[in-house]
Amino acid sequence: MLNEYDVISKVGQNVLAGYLGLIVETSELQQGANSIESNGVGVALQIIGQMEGQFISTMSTATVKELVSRMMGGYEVQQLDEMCWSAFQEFGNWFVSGIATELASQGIQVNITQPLLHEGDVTYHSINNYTVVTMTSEIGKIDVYMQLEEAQTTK
Amino acid sequence: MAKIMVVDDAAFMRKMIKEILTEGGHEVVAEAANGEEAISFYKSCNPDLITMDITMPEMDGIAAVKAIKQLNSEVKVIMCSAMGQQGMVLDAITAGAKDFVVKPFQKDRVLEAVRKVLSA
Repeated sequence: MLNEYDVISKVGQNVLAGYLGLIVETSELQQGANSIESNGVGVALQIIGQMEGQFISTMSTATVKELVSRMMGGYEVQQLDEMCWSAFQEFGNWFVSGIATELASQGIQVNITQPLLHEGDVTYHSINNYTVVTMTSEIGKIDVYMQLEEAQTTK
Repeated sequence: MAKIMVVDDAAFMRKMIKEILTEGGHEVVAEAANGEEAISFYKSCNPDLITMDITMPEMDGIAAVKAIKQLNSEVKVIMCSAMGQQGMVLDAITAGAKDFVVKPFQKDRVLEAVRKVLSA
């Protein structure tokens, strides 16, 4: 059975620690959540294929500036311009592509959609619970929400 | 030094790859945001090498590589994608790519792939 926490943690470590050089601690919210409130920024992607679901990552504006700065090789980010938003989309793309690769290694073939961004007060509601993983590092807290279930067509 | 075309729908990735290639002594002669643009720019720029994303709007990278192979069977393409699963790599190589670099990547990995593909 797929352990979503393990998959998110492994990919999060690969991207944040392995590539961006951050020291990351991960923790799972055991209760899960079926609604997500964000007053910062977020990136959302759909996962499609043999399993289907959503991935949403939220963080504060200060954290995304630090994240994007690291992705740009240390360039100081004052304002979130078009290039910063493109980088943040790419962060979502890297993360969920990593999840897709992990799923493929377990024999589950999926693809992903284009990343969508949000900024400001947003609440997502879902019928099913999300697995919630918080990754804490020197740039702040990054929350990852994911829900995956077997696709209807493959049942 | 090689003339290189960078194909990626993300402006950030085009900028990042261009910086790596330029620092490595190469010239980026064209930047395309999807497969259709890549085919059009390939005809006008005739680059020595192409870095190609896979997941893009309009036309994806696999379809673009196949189309460009029809124009020049010797074209040198390095796929640069975050989707690194074995099936995706196989599809890219079957379509005609010479190497596959998984995002996020380090500068050295990109320049090494470029060096190898150019010298092959």
